[in-house]
Amino acid sequence: MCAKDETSRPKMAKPGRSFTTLLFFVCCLLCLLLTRGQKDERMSICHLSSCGSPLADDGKVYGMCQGRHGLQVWGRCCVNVTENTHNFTVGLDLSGCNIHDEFFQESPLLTLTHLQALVLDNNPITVLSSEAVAGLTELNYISVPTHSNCSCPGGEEAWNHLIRSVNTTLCLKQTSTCTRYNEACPASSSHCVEDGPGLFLCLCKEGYHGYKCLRQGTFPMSAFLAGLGSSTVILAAVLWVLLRRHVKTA
Amino acid sequence: MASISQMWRQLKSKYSIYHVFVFLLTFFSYAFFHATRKTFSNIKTTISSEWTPQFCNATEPCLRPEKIWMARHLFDSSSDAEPFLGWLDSTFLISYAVGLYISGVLGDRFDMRKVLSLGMCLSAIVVFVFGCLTEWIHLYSQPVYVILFVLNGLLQSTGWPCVVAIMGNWFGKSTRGLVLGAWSACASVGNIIGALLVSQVLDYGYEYAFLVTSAVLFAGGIINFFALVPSPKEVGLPEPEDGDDDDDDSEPSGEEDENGVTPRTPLVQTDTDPPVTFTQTRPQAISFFQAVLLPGVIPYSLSYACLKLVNYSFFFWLPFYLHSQYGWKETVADEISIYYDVGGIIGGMIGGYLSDRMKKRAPTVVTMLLLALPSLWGYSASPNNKTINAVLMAVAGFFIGGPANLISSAISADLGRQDLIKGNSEALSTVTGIVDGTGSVGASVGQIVVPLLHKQLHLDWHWVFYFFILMTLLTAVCILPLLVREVRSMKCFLNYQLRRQAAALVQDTHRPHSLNS
Repeated sequence: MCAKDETSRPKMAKPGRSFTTLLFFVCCLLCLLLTRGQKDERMSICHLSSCGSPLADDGKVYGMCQGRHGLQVWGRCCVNVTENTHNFTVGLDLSGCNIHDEFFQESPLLTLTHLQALVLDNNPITVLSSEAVAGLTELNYISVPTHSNCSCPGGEEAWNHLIRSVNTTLCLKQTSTCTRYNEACPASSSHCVEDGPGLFLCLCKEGYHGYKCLRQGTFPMSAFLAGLGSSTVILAAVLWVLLRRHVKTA
Repeated sequence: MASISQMWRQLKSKYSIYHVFVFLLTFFSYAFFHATRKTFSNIKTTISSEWTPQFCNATEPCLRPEKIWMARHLFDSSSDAEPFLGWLDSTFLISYAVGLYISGVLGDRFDMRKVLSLGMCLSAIVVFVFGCLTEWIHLYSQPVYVILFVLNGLLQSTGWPCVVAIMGNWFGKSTRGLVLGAWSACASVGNIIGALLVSQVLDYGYEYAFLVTSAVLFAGGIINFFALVPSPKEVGLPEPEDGDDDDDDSEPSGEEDENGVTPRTPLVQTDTDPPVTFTQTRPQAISFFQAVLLPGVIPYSLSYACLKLVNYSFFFWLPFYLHSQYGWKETVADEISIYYDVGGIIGGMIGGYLSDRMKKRAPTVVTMLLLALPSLWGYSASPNNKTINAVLMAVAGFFIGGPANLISSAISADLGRQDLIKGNSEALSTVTGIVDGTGSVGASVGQIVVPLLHKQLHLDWHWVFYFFILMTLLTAVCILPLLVREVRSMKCFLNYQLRRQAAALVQDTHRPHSLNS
């Protein structure tokens, strides 16, 4: 029931329909209680209380949402609503939301795996680490305030284009980290997978598993135990008949 | 052909089905013990990478996800884990040495079958916990590993005194050298079994290497419990001939006839015919200090301490020496170092056979040890050639491993069944424990001294070899008093026999005359 309502949520949340808005909030509360998962987090990041104003209509996120079919503005987010099962956020504009460095401590962006554009203009952040945007492989547009320290996550090598202006720094199009560190993963058992700007993962190759991908295949436990157990019993029985049966005990 | 069938008949009359299975059961019991030890030395590389995070620094990025690459921090790096692994080896040797003294005493007081079975099963459980359970529950802790290794050393020590004592019970002194010389191959065979099992299952994870070897050891313990007959007395067979055979000038064939009377096919023997020599009361066990004071025990224990030091240093350091001295790959070094074992087995058998024929062990052992000195020197000067090195290594193994095998098995059994205590008390297992325990103390000293000489003092490998030569010489010196005594008694015996033969000759020349007349 919740999931169904959720899909219609962005449509219904238009101003002027007080009854449906009420219904929406009741359902949201229910959803919050029931699923406490990624969805409420995404919802909350789209409706941060620290953001005073709604999404400005001259930004990148607003623009990308207008241009394409199936995308809808929802709070500070641009959400893809074409898939019925779940929505995903493709754009997030948190400009002017008073975001500090502490905001990223609990990795709030981790669940927005399809995020393509992130705008953080006019915020007092000093550094945007690559860990904050870890796993966001589709992220191809970041706008951060130009400070002394604050730069594109993952460093300059992680981006194809870096456009620095007085107020903002734009990071455009991620480079392939795996190409840069192509020798880093132990080649015999693992392979490299992109994991966002400047980051990569070493995942176990097909058939390998465990810590450091040291294990290969599964041990035939039942066959081993059955084989050893039965041969032990047979051998013990045969040898008892041959040898110890003749022992005279006091 | 005729001689072969004659030999076969002799063998059949001398050995029953029990002898065959006692040989096999004790052989594989100790082999499985050794297989679990070999497991540990062969998975050292794998286990140290399981204990540590993947290496990373400024130029090499730390790998992610952390759970796969960086989660374990028992040590910072594999090279930090190395001293700990060496430590575990020394811990094992020390607790093994202490355990040998205890297990030997236990073996003479309780049923050796039960002591051995229990030792095997419990040791299997400890090995399982060490290598498998800790991995399954992800418990990586240095104190836990050390405690488990101490326990393992104590439990593994039940093996040697019991199996040697059981072999000593079944095989008499006249064949003991050869039989036990061949039987001593069990340690090397165990190493091979261990190495094979490990290489078969290591891909599934190192814990399965421990699982397989410990499960096989456990199974061996169970089979022993149901099958092993520790003494011929238990099935109504006579004990083998023993003691000093100075006056035993009867021909082997005559002996055979005597033995032929005994039931050599006990399978046919039913419960209805009561065994002739069967005694239900077991002789009282000798005390530990009485055993120490038995003639020959102290000299042989001390000599074995020196010799096992050299022998085990070879066992532990040979692959590393080959790797560092000649730059050979570790797998190649491992393969070539097998020739040391091969030499040791052949040396043990040939030395054993010769000492059987001489009816004296000390002359053979001392001769071999004296020949070991030039062979050690020759090996240290080996050129960088794998074939020549392997040959020289086999020669060194022949003259060092051979006497070591002899002392730890055949001679220990002789000492524990000598005339002084024959029939009155049980001493075999205690004596074996004392000799091998003292030997293991020496081996653990070697584990400390060799790295000290080589790594701490940065001395050339030659100094290590000079140390080995010195220790081998000391081994011979410790046996010298026994050699003197044995040679003297041999001279007396020879004189006696010569005189007797002369007397017989004189009689013979007289007899026909008297008959004729």
